[in-house]
Amino acid sequence: MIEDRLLLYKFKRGESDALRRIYEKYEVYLLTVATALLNDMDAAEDVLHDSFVAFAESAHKIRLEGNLRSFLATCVANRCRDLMRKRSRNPESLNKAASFTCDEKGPEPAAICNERLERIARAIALLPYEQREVVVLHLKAGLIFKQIAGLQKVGVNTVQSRYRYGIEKVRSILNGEVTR
Amino acid sequence: MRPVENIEKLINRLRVEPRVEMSKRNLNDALAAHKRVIGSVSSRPTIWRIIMKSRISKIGAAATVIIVGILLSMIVLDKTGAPAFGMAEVMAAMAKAEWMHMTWEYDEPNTGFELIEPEIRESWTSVNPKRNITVYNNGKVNFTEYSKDEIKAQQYDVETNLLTTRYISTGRNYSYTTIIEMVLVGIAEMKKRGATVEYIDSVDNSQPVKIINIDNIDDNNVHFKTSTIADVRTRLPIRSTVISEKQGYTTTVNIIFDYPQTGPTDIYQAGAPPNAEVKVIGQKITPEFLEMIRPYRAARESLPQQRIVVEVANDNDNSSVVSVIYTNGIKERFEQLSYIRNDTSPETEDFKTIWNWANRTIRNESGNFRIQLNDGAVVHGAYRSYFNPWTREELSLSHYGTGFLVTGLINRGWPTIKTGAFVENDYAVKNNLLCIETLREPRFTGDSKLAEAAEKTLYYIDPEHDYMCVRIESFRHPVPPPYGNTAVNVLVFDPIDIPFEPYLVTEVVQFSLTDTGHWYPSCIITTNKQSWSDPGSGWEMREKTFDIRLYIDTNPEFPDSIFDPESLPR
Repeated sequence: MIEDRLLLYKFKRGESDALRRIYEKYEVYLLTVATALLNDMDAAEDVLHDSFVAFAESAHKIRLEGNLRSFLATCVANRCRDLMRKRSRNPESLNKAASFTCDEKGPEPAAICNERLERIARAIALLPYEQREVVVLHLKAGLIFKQIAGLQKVGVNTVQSRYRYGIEKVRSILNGEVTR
Repeated sequence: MRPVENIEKLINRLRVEPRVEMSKRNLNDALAAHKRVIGSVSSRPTIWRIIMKSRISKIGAAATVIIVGILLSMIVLDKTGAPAFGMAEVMAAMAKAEWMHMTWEYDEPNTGFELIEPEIRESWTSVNPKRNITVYNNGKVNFTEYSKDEIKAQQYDVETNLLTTRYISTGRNYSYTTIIEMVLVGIAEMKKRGATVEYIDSVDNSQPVKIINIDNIDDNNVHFKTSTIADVRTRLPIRSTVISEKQGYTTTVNIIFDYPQTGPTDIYQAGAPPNAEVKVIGQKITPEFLEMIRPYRAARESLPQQRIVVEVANDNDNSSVVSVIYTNGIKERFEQLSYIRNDTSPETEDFKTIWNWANRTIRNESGNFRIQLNDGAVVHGAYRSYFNPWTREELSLSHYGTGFLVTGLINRGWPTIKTGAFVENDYAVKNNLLCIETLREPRFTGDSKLAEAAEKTLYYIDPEHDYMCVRIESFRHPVPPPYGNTAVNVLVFDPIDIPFEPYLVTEVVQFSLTDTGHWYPSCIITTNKQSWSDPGSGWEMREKTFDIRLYIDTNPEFPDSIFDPESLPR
């Protein structure tokens, strides 16, 4: 947290090393969030690109209320939502499937882990966008329900319901896959 | 059936590996955008620079002195010994005028003072509520408003389009602060400076007027020659000419007075644009401040509770203070001797050696020796001076306040910071430190005389060394003792008027690690430029430097009965 504050101080003062460090620190995290939201690697990369360029351009204007990580995740989520709206108007846009990998070393072989994650990512992609956004932002981006409620401009109870429905639906989809 | 927890864990483990080309492209584009934005305002200084480089304070001060001088002229005795205007009449006239407006016209280019003082275009002073507003020819604006428990000090800087607002909490009620009160403070100041006053009866526009000439030298060694024309009927100044001289440079300014019904009641009405970027430095405790200060406080709390600290402070006057502080986390024993140094402490890093030396010194030297034992409820004290034997005292802990236990290690490395604001600052950024600014309003005695000037303190915290406070800078105008006897300086009325250079700097120049792995300051240098001494011929301000060394044992075996009040000398 304090490191982020220092990075932000330096970033606002024009130190490129600070921006580089922020990018390197949060690149994987933000790309994962964007990919999970969009289920499209190319689009996620573009969102990450545009988010960071906009962040860099806001060096003098930025005023951080919370922490930098949540701030960046919110920026990415907003851009993903804008993109999804455009897609709904232009349905010819095609998704390029995302490719997820395990983020930690577990007892299971990497191939099995990766396959599981692929399946869960596919299940998430089948959720209505509002539910997907809540699930991804809460579990992967680490945002609390109150923050997501602010982002979606709905009440906290609605967000919690979306989360519950979303998780249940993912579970049903995965169970359906198993039994099929 | 997959449990919900498993699904949540799986989602949490999602990870996408970025492609190298994408990373490069994103980062390069972001860096280019950053460079573009920064480059477009490359000369933009930080808030700190804005404040420090701004000379608003100085001209504000000069303006105040001039105004006070003009008003003063109305009530100082003239050559005949009779009041130029009766005090009661002046006060009555001024009481009616709640707003005083001044238009400033410089006769000639302000070449001599250009580098240190921007030119004023106009200014206002209001009485209820008290406000000082100054608008400069370069677009800068100063706005200060005093309320019952808060001072709002604002500065607008046109070069950066930045409006800085500072809120300073105050326990002082400014509702009685009138122009006349400011005049009274000014009287004391100008009399002290030996101002000369001359009164001439004259006529202006067929009206009888009084011309008042004042000759005065201010704190900054600027020589003011003020000539004021005042209306005999209203007792209020009409216009004034002020010639300022310093180091061979001269500036002449004509001031036209008028007394409007109202004036600008906020900085925007005074000329700051609505689109100015706003930066607020509040002194109230905010959630953000608490979040930022948390690791500092946590580091303070995590220091080893059981410890003995030996502190040796040598000053540049051949005086020393040796302290030994024993703490077990609940009880504390504090022994301190102040004496004229006749030998130096041994050059060693070994705790036992220095502790034995400190104990020998404390008990053998003649000097002011005090012991305080805090048992958690009562503070037992024993004192001995050069000439007096031991005396004892017992006071409840509440007499000393809750901060009594924080001596030695804590107050040297982690001093109490109750409130403040995190600020940007060149020194902090350059050295990877966090900087907290605290502001304290001036303190006055019950009869409104000055006890302490307004003070700003900057604390620099080092996250790399257990959030230790590695540097403290304090800024204030000097106030000679005996405190509360003199209304010294009208400048202290405005919290913006704080000097640019610190009078007190405390810096940790050497760190060490305790056996428990905690950083502590092992050598501190303190420089106080406002140390007062009375050699018998009056108070004199001089510079005093302390070299403070700390030695710590975090696994002590406390001497028997060290915390027993009965062990204190009688």
